[in-house]
Amino acid sequence: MSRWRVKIIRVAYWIAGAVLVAAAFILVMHLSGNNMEFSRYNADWNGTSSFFSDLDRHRSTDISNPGKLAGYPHNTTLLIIAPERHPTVQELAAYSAFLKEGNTIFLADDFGTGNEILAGIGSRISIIPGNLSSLDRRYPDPYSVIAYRTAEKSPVALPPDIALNRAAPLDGGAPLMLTSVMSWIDANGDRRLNMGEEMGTIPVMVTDSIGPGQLIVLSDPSIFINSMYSDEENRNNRYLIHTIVTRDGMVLVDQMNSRTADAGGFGEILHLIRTTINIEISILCLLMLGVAWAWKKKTI
Amino acid sequence: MNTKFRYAVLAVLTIGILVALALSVSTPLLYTLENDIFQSRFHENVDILKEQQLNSTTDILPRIQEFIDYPGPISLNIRIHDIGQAQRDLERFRNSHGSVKNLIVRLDMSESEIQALEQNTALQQDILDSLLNTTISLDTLQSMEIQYSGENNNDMMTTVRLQGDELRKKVRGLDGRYRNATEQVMRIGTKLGLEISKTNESQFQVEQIVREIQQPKTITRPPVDTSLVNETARVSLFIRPDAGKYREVIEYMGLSLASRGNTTLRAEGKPITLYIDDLPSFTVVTDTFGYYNTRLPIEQIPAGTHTIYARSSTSRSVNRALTVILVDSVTNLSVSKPDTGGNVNCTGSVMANYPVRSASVQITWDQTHIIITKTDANGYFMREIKLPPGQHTLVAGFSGRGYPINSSESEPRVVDIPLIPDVIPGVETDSGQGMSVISVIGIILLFMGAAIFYLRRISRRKTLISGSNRDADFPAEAGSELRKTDSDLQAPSMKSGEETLIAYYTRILREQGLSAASWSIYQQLAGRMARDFRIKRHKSLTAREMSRNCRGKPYCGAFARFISIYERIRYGGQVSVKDQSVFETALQSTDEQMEGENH
Repeated sequence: MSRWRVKIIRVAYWIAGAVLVAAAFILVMHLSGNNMEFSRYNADWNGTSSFFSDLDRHRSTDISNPGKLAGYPHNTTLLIIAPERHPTVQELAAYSAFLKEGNTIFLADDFGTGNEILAGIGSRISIIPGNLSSLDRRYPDPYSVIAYRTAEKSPVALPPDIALNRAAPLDGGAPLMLTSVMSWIDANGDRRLNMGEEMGTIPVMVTDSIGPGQLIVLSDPSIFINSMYSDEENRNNRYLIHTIVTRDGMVLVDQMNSRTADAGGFGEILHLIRTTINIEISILCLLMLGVAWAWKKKTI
Repeated sequence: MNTKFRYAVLAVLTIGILVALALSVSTPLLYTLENDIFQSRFHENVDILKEQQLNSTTDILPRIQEFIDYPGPISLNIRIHDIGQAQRDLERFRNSHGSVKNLIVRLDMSESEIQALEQNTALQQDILDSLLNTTISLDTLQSMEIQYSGENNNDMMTTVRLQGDELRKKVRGLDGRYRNATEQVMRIGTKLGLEISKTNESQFQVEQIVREIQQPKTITRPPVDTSLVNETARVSLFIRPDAGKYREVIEYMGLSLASRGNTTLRAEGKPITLYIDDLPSFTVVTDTFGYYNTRLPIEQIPAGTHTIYARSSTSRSVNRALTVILVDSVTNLSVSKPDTGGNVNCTGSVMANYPVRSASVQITWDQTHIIITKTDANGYFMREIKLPPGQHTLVAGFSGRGYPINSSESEPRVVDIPLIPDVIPGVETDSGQGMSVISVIGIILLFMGAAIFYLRRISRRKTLISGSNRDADFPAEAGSELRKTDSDLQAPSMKSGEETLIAYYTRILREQGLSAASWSIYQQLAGRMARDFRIKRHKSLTAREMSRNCRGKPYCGAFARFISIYERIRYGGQVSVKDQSVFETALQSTDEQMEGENH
């Protein structure tokens, strides 16, 4: 009888410890996330955590300042997803130099500051402000437009169609993907076709050559968010992104001017720890000391 | 009983939490779609849209119905190049939404008709562009002719008039080609029921433009007096515009005439050299009419007014003035992070109203070293520089010398070359990689030092404790007398070699009672166990901790039962005869098993 009591006490201790560890894990998980638009630390529907989780760490690098863009070979691809502030002169010079090396820039933006980047690197492409709408839609909303492959020859392999979520129209460049003719620009934002709003095919993904470099513009960064990336019915979106990030060379992800880099609160602290080598090593040493101390206590 | 109740409550609560966690782990209720009011200007919540899809028949169909019943004109833009795409789209849409198939315009066109329509529309556009350009050029020539007429410059008037004649010759036949193209478009349009009235109107307008070009309004012109060409040969020069900035294009044109006897001939295939400030700049050859024309951008020429003239092999034109306007420039410089050899990549650009090409750029570091490089055709430059360890300031400058461009200088760029190069591949640091490596090594050394100090300190303390309590902690042999180390409790000594553990227990029980006897026995057994497991300071541990530390020995189970009944006797309050009997059984069992281990 007493033996069973000892066993029960031991099991209770183990259960209590497991519950505490689980609680701590859930707390850290909860605090390290956020709900910021396009944030890589946002595991909710409007974050990009799934895309960043799928990135091959051996072939991708975060670019946190313009100097890091230098020195890459000609087959490197830079992803600029949802830029949010005005680009600096240094950033524009770095983008231009990057293209001049024969590399590729993939810009995904609709209502951000993508136009300033495009103008700054001398592209003829522009993102037109406006809500792209279509009767060809993935969900019961005219802004969830389906765009179709139009180019026979493309710098990246294209799926037959992709689903967009509040895209913008594009102007200039050679179109790679177009909406169907049942599409229009919803000028007044009422999600309906009104007088003066004409239907027709509208480019949503175009390409342009700038010197030896290649520029690809997609007018909807929302294909990177979890709900548009992970859903099985949007597998073509995932295929398109996969073909872009698995090209021959390295993949660089712009974290200088992108909503994907947004972090807040505890998440920002974790991000700081992860990206600052000194702090990371200090914490590792402290943890090791803690474990050693606990182990010693146990063996007394 | 209380303890049991508490454990039961704890167990129920724990199980309840685990069950709740297991039930909600697949779909954590962090938010509900019904309460989601998050408004984003970038996208819609797909999960909410999916919920709406449950009522798609009531949501999507009214929208389509609204589209069908829309009373006003519906404009469906199908560009001629998109006809194939439009057909595919409409087919796809009709398949997915059968109710709207009657709405769509039928595109009943054969491949050849589509091609013909496309080709003729493109031809119409080309002709129209050509006519518009000709009209603009003729207007310009006409205004020039009026200007030279006022200046009584017969030489230039002749040049301009001849150029106008050439342009009019090119227009001949364009109206006929446009008419043919229009007839084709109208034929196909009529067949398909397209609106063609505008096409008809365009034909009329084109004919009118051609008529106006070929029969210009008569202006008072002085007769071309060929006697003005009174030398053996003559060359004229006209520049347009007569002022410009860097890389703006200037058009140089003129006529070369040669007189042979009493006739004036146009000099065909003769080289004409353009001179800028008496320096030969460019050579062009006259065409069959003696006319020459070339367009040259303003490149490396200083700002100000320059004298231009043209020279053939036998004659020279009058001087013309070209004014070059000064513009500002901007020089940018970016410096890459240094590699292991201390090399940095300096890239940048020199921009004026256009990118400045083939310009010398001076890169200065620390105001002491100067390196010269050149911009490429797009105004960019790149130069690798090897820098010694330390902090350096780099500046790129464009002097503007020889260009109609003001000088400019970049913002200074500061770069740190570490003493110790980056030896940890893959480690990203924002700046000062050498310092970072040093600081990392410093942190590791600091922690190692702290760990060594701590371990040595602990080891010294153990030695001291071990030295002072060795006899108490490690009984010399089994059954030896315990030393008096407990100030509060003192176990009666066990007669060495004469008394068994059971006899010892019986004696203490008789003299001091069950509680004291059980404690004395516990001390004996704990001492034996401490020697087996080499537990130092076992007297500082509780009986339960001793029991927990007993693993891997045959007597551990018996010892655990002994501890259980021992605690009940010592701390459980009133002790029954049954408890004493259980204790003695456990004592005997433990003693036997420990004896088996040669204690």
